[in-house]
Amino acid sequence: MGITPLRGWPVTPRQRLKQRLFEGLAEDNLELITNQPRGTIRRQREARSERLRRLRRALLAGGSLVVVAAVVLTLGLRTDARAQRATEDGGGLEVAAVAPARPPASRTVDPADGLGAVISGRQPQPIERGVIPLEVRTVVVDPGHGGRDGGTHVPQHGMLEKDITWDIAVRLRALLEDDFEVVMTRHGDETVELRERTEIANTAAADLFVSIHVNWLPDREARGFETYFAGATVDPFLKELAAAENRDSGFSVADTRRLLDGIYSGVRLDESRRFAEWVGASLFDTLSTSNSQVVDRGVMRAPFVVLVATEMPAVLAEVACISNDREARLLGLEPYRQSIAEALSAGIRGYAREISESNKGEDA
Amino acid sequence: MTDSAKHLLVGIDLGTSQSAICTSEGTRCVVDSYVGWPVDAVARKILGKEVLFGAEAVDNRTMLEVHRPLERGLLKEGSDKDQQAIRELLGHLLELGGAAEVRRKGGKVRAVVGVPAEALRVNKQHVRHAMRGLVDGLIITSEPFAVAYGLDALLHSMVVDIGAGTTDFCVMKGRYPTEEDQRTLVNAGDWVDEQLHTLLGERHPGISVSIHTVREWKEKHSFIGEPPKKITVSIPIKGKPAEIDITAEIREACESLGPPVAEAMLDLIAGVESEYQERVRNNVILAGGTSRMPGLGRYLEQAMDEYGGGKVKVVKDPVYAGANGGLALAQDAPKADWEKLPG
Repeated sequence: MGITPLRGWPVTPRQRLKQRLFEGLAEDNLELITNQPRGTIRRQREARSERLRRLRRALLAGGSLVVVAAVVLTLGLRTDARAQRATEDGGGLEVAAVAPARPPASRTVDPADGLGAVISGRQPQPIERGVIPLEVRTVVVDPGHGGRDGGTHVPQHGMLEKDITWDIAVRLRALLEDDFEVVMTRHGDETVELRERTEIANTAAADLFVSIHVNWLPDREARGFETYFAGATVDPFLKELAAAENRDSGFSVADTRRLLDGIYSGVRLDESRRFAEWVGASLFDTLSTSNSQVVDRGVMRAPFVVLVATEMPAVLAEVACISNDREARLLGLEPYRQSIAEALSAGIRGYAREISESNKGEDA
Repeated sequence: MTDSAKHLLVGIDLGTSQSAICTSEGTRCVVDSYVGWPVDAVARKILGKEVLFGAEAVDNRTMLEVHRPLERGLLKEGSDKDQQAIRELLGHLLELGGAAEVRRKGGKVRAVVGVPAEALRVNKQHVRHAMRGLVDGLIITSEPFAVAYGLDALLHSMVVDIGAGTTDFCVMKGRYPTEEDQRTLVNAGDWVDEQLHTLLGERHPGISVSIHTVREWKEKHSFIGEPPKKITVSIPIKGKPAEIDITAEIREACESLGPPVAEAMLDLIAGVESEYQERVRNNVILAGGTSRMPGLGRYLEQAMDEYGGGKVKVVKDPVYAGANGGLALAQDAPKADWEKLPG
């Protein structure tokens, strides 16, 4: 079967050379923007290439020609034109999703939105996680809002969502950076479009993405936290919330349609859901020690752009309700913000550990 | 933004001595990298401007607080005024290039800015911050890489970009240059000026000459090798006008540049895989304002003789080679590679 060059794919040695140069230039700039040491992204890319090679070897050794597009996404690899060409040329490819080895008791709130059934219907047969040497190395921390976009606020407490999310993100970075590469999507009080945030995560080929937000609910008595992963919803409040958070995303209509088509094909959904469950459980376990009235409002799906357009397991945590007077006061306290950061860190570590242990279990 | 709004791509070479801009509309401008603010209300009234740039700033320096915001190819640190100066300078360049007008009409401006090969991260961050509000998209690149890209010398070549503040080296190996492919020396045009200034002070006691004047002499008379003619200048010594011969001092100062540049060039070539070294030796490209120094190319060729020889070409348009390369990069850069800057 001949290879038909894709549009935009370099066909001459000169074009390939220029593509390599631009890849290097883009990496160099991304390291500058994300304030990572020089060569970090190149090393990550090389490590990921090696992991992909190992994955392919493992799959071929098992006598299967299954090249798992879902696994590529789960590993945080970008599906570039080369991969697309390989897919076109390979023929007979099969798509499988990675299922958790030991599903926890489900805490997921799945509104009767009609889409769950569609997703369930599409889910292919899972492959065993042990086949894939998964490991969490790079975590993207996304402090919601910033710069011109202050997010939500309650005037009597004088706090803006952008400042709270930044404070928690900095604390979270400090808790993670000894064990993970941590990439921040913003570096202070600056405006960063949602599109740029997802591009930072995707270009860094991150393994996990966590977006930090603070909730505002019309019911001032409502309190607690919510944890989201990507998906559709018919809940009118969640639609409104997603629309508000997605404002000025920087994506065109066509982009959005493509992204939604991609995410609703379900290939990354299970890992994001699993990750969200870890984060939600950890938020409850940690925060309930200092806030006896904390409420776990559930793990839910919603089409936030940062969840839909990222290529790795991603969650968005609304860590508290600033519209609730008590929680607004708690957010003003440094120890409480530290507790939130510790809870997020514990959720990330729990998910990372589960993956690592499931690999070891399979190896044994 | 209206549908008819025009977009503009620009390449900028931010230099210690001169800064240049080339745009997709064909505009090319170069300014001396000086920014001056009137020292008081009187000076402001006389000059009729809030800020002056380039030669105009140097000419009126007695009435100005003059800043040369780059030193040895890098932004000076610790001074808010220098930060402000670099932003003013970039803004001035973009104004000259028509970028500000394009933005006023709702168009978007994307800029590739070249910085020294081994510029510190903090300096690149200064450039990023300075460009905020001036352009919509930004890519920062290594200056010699931009030169190589603009000349389409992408493989088995070496660019030696000799500016005022730094000499930047870059070997093109078919990849974006890493640290091992690049080198930056502070032996460059300014360094030659300092050598010449010191030599003149030592050999002509009582001479009173500013570094600006020394720089003008060097730019007019520099050479390496045999002197083309006797070089004399008029200068007051102890208040009396005098004609002095500075041929030997010019030669000595200029020739002091050769050894460190040759050594760095040979060291980088030695790091190239052996089968490609000859191709690189025969494809050495000299760029930057100081590359116009007569005899420098020949000196570097001689330095390669004992390693099998080589060829050194001086670019035709050394002042604009970096900005042209930046523009070429801007025209080819994928949309996703641009850093989107807040308005």
